[in-house]
Amino acid sequence: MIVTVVDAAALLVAAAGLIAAAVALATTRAVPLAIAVLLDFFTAAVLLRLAVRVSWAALGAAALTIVVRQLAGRALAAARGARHRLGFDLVRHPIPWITQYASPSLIEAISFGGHPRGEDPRWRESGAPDQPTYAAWCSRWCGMACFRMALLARDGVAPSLYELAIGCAEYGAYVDGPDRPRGLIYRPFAEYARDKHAMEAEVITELDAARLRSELDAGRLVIASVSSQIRLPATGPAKTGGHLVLVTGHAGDLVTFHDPAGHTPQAGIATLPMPVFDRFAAHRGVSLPV
Amino acid sequence: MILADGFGEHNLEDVVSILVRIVEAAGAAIIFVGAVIAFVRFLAIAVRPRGLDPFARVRLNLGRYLVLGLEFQLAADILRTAVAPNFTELAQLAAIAAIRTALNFFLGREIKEETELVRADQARPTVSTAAPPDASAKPP
Repeated sequence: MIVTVVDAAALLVAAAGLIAAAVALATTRAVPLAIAVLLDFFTAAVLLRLAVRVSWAALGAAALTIVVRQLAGRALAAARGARHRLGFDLVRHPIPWITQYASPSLIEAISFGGHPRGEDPRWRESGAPDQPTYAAWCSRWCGMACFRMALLARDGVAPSLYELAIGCAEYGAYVDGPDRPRGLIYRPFAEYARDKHAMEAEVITELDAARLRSELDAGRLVIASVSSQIRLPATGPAKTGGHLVLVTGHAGDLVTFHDPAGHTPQAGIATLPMPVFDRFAAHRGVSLPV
Repeated sequence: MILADGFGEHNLEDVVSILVRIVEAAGAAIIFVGAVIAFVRFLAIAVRPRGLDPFARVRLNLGRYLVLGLEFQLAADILRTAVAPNFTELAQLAAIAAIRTALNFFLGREIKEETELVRADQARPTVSTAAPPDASAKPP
């Protein structure tokens, strides 16, 4: 009787392990994590069976569990280590490039050619209810585009830019100006990220190169305030700040970032020497654990 | 053989066997409960994804249950040595104790490493909250 009950429990635990591993994989896309989760539950199942059936086969299964656990543990640690060393995460989604304007191909015309920013045939993709609303918001969405990239990197799904902006506005991260919304205001934004998206965003007011590297080394993404002229790094910045980019990694003296207002693919996902990036930076931003 | 107090060897075997069953059942129950709790938490995380860290925490907790369950099972192994009647059973007992001890050791090490990772993540540097208001109000 006891043997039957424990055997059934072991089977249940093994089945739960399969489901939990599938859930972990679907949620994080982290294969080493899913394997580790599966092994955790399988270990529990093996131990349950071993409690009532002492046989050489059961002992062999237990010994095999130890070996496989160690191998999977090393793979998970290696993935984590690689993430920290390279400044990007092997066990999260790829970080997409999201632009603040619905049509990336129009950014050059909007930024340098006087094209009206609201006249974008793809404006509906932003989630805005109408074109005037899109026109009022889109030039202010660099922070939302950065945040959306971070959410997509973490979860694989994210609300639209408009939904994120409205959510932030409810927390006071955007306030109505005379003619258009003003923001992004970091602290209410961080509260919004924590409350609504369970992302422990941290406002950093002294974001120098060393701090930026340490955040990236810890596996975080950083929304950094820079001049929008960073798209043309050969020019000198007229001012620092005013625009937000998502810094995704560094290697040696190079820093890689996603610019929501990048007018070319190269400017959209750009890599610059740290001193050059530093010239355009306002040295403040928000760190995002993903 | 009759013990001095009249307690028979078979009686001793019976008592030890019952004790072994109780302790083993307790260990199995702990492992099962830990697995159920972990499973429920995994599903809860899936409903509201929060990155990798919550999964690590759930694994950490499950690991603690496994270690505790293993401690009970090791205790049962030790009890069983009191009544193991032949060499084959003794050999199996030694093997199972060795494997459980090894699992216990590796699980303990994993928990320690995982705990250090979680603590390192929590111990990240904090920034002053006394920044001037305009420092956090930058467009866009």
